[in-house]
Formats: sequence, C-alpha cells, structure tokens
Amino acid sequence: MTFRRCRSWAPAAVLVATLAGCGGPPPSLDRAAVADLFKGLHEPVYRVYELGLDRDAIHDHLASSFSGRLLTDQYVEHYTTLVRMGREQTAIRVVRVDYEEIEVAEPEPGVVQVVADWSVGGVVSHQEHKHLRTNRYRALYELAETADGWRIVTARLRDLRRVKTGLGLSDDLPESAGGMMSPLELLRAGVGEDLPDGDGDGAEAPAE
Amino acid sequence: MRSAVAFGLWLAASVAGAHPFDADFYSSRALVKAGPDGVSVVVAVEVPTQRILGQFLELYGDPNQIDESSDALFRQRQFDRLSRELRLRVGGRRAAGEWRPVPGEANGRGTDTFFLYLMEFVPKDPATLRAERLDLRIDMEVFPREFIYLSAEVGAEAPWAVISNSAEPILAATDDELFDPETGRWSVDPRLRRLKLVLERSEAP
Repeated sequence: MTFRRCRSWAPAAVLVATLAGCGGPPPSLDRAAVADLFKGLHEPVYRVYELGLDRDAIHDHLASSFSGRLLTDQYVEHYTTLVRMGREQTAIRVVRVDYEEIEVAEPEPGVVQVVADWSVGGVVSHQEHKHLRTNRYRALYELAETADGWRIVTARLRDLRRVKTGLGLSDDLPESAGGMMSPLELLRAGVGEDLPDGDGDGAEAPAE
Repeated sequence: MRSAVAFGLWLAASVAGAHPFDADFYSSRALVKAGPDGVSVVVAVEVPTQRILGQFLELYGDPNQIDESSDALFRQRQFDRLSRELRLRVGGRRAAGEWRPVPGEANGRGTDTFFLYLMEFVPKDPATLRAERLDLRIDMEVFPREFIYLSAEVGAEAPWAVISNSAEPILAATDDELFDPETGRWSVDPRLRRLKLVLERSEAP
C-alpha cells in the first residue's frame, strides 16, 4: 500500500459532513479529501476531556469518531482515565492540536489507511498546580465507511514523545505550531495565575 | 496498547526532566551550516516559559481583557529585541543584512519549559556568505543580564571545511552533565557569546 503526504487541507467540517451523509462511496475520495476527513474525525476526540463523567455523553461523543471494537476500547480507556483523573483531582485542558503531516494510502472502496503526525499542547491541572504539556504523536489509522458515515476503526500508535524543548526542532522546524503554545493561550488556560508581579525580565530592551 | 488518542494518560504522567539544565535559565545556541549553496547562520534562543508569561502580563495585563492580536505583537517584539542583540561580522566588519525570524508557526511559541525563538541572518548581498574563505564572528549578546547557557553547532559539507571554531575547545572542556543527546554540549563560559569561525571552500564554486 502506497502512502502519500498531505500537508494542507480545505475546511474539514463541510467535507466531513458531506462524506458522512453519503450512502455510497464518495465519487472523488482523493488523498487531500481523506486527510480532511481524518482530521475532522480525529481532532474532536480531544473534547472528551470537557465532558465530565457523563457516560452517555462520552460514548456519544466518541461514537462520532470511532466504530466497532475501537469505539469500545476508546470508551473504556477514556472513561477510566476520566474517573482516575477525578479521583486524583486532575483536569486536562487541550489548548491546541496541530497536524504536521498526514500520509494517505491509495483509498479503496469504503476503506482507507492514514499515517498521521500531530502534536497536542495542553494544560494539566492537578490540585492547586498547573503544568504544561506538549506531546508529539505518530500513528497508523484505518478509516472505514459505516452505516453512520466514515469512522476510525483501527488505531496503532507508532511513536509518542513529550516535547520539552523546541531546540530539537531547530533543524526541522515544523510547518505547524507543533503543539507549542502562545503566551495568551497559556494564560487563558490558567497557567501563570501564581506568577508574582514583575516576573518578567523587563520587556523593553534598550535601543541601540 | 495505549490508545493513540488517549492524551490524558500520558499527559497527566509526571516525566522527569531530560534537559541538561534547569528550566529557569536562558539558553542560546548558534547553528552554522556550510553547504553547496553557501553558509547559513541561525541562532536559537530559549526563554523560560515563566519569564515569558511574566513579561506578557506586565505588558498587556489581564489576558481575558485583551484581543488575540496581542500574541502577534508580543512575538514580533521578542523578534525585534533579538534582532538588535545579535551581530554577524565577516572579515572583521559588520555584515550588511538583518536578523530575521525563521519562518514557521512554532517559532516564538513555547512548551512547559521554554519559548523558542529562531533567528537567521539574511545578508543584503547573498554573495557575502559565499566567498571562498569566510572569517565569521557571531555575537550573541541576547539577554545580557541573564544567566545563560550557550552552545554552538557548526556543520560543513563539501566543498566547505571548518578551519577553526572557537567553540570547540570550550565545549570540549565542559562537564558531561551539560551534554544533551538531542542538542549537544553546553557551557556557561561567556566567551561562547562571541563565536569565531573560519570556513574555507576546498574548490571553486
């Protein structure tokens, strides 16, 4: 199976809605369309952390992205994670999801494989503390057309690492933000609430 | 198998630091590459995230009362500052050109430890960095009042060769604790703020 890379996409929501509503195979499911389709299914999954412990809401939310055995696995994993987080007074706020590269195999009728490389930037609140995290992932997915529309049906993680410093990016700066966050994104997520006044080093540099 | 999208399990895990120095300190690293198309000079600067957030709050106040443009203004302000604090000399004379941010959305953004700023020197005349012999000096006077870790990485592909590199003996003498497998050796020796290099082509372009 041959993969090709897609680095740009049209607005995903319209396309996903179109594809999901079709009864038969879309007439032109090219690689760019598959990349958009994947992103439209994958990115919303991260909103599961905003749902609390409402089982039905969690399952319904995941069912709009996954199907079959994978839906069950995802539901169990996310629900148990959310329960554990609640017990440990931990909360997660996903600030940004950036897709760097999506390789798409030649689509076949009703099924297609993608390899995605993406980053997630978020804030973990644990009791009184907030911690930033930026993680980078690479995974193989299979998407299939189901009675409810296109869904992710298999997932295999290939790489996962925490990005602690951008210096490793110096030789290969990602085209996307790579899950790295801006000051405003961080502050609005509640990071820096415990900063003492005047923690900056003086924002004004002396002019030459 | 851990789910590829179960961000929480991994995100919530406490991971020990792998960076060779504490996240409270600044760093600056020169990246010089000589290749068939000439020589590129980039400086990567990392600023502790807590410092960046402190500066941002000082400048703009309540993050919920300001608009999104503040991010872009702040980022440009940082780039402008770094541009003023970097110098490139060629043959002993200040090279005509300017330090510009390396294009990319990640440039000027941060992780839990640092915000990364990548600046590249863009010469007014491209021939400036294509001479047969280049005597370079990069002055990294960034954040002059801060304790800062410094490093340099110099790479040369044919037809170029590195004749001398003032960073080599300094970095070679550093403690192994300041070695990071991803980013190389680091030092607090202030002489690294002035990197002197001689590069030479082994054949005519």
